[in-house]
Amino acid sequence: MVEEFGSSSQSKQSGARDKRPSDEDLIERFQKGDLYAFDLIVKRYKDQLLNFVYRFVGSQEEAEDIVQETFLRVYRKRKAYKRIAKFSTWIYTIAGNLSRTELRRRKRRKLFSVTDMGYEDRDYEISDDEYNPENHVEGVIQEEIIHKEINNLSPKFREVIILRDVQELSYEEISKIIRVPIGTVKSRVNRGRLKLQGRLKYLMKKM
Amino acid sequence: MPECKSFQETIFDYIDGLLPTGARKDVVKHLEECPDCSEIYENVMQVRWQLRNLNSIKVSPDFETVLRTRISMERSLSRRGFLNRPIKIPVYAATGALAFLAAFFILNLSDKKLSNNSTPLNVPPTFSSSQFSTNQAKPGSQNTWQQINYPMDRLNMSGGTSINSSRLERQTSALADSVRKIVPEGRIQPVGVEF
Repeated sequence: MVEEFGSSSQSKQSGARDKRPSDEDLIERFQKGDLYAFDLIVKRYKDQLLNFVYRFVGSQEEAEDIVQETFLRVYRKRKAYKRIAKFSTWIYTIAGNLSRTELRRRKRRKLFSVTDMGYEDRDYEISDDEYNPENHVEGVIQEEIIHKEINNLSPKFREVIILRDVQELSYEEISKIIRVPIGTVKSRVNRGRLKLQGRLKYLMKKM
Repeated sequence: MPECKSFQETIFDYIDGLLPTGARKDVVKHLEECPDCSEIYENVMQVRWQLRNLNSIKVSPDFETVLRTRISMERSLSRRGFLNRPIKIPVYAATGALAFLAAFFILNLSDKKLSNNSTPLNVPPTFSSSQFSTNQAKPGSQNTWQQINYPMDRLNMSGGTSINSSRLERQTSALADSVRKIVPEGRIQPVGVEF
């Protein structure tokens, strides 16, 4: 019998017994009708994808919509996943494609504004240890500047910089996600880093 | 230094830990000697550190609830077959069109039947059918309201006409309602008609 998404206690128990099943195991279980496995995938990837998409599109609200759509696509197209590829590559590809579509849509409508990044909606995780309001404000401003400069990069550099230096994915994985050769990925990452360091070096000198 | 431009790629490989031991030593040596490359290296390392330590954001608390609701809606729609069978839509449209045509023909036939058989006026509830005269309508008459006949014992009118079609019957009934008024004594008086 197919379980309801996030509602089966029996399946939750069986899931708890497994010691962190791999993403590929989870999607396989989900393909066989185990909706609790899908629940686990959502829990595992929701924040990770949100951070990737947020850095890419610049707005938290839109990023959340894109992540929702990403999981809906995974749900609908679960049969399309083949175990030959890493699940993370597959889900990042979906999220990346949706983000690029969003950026193209914005460009068409000419609605994109660098100032409208939705900073006010951001939910910062601040450690209570050695909390200093001055440092905090400075840190927030600095992060806003970095975030803004990431968004000022062209999408092809922005995407690889986020995947490589924020998400810390390997060049091989990035190459599969954005479907370009590894050499091109490396070249884009290097050029993106050079651009960023050029724009942010005044900030780095302050530190 | 002009050779630094080509050396930059090696610096990035060094940053990513992709260089073999021998090449790493060469990079370290170059960085110690070249202030420009050294500055780039320091800046890139700092930016990279900043990017890796950016505060992470979290999805809103209702994220999973919203997702579950959207999935449930999709499931219920696909169970109904609404999404899977778009072919049904033209079928529904065709059925509706047929029903409309059938209704149109039935109504037309009944109209023709009524026009062949002369029928009395549909009498308003305050009158009995015997109180109406059923004379023939004058051909080519324009003033429809004048064709209406009212009970002769109450209204001082004569030369009434009969109405043949049911459509006309409905129109005249409505007109009759609009042109008559009730006088204080409780009698019904058509507007503009003297007693």
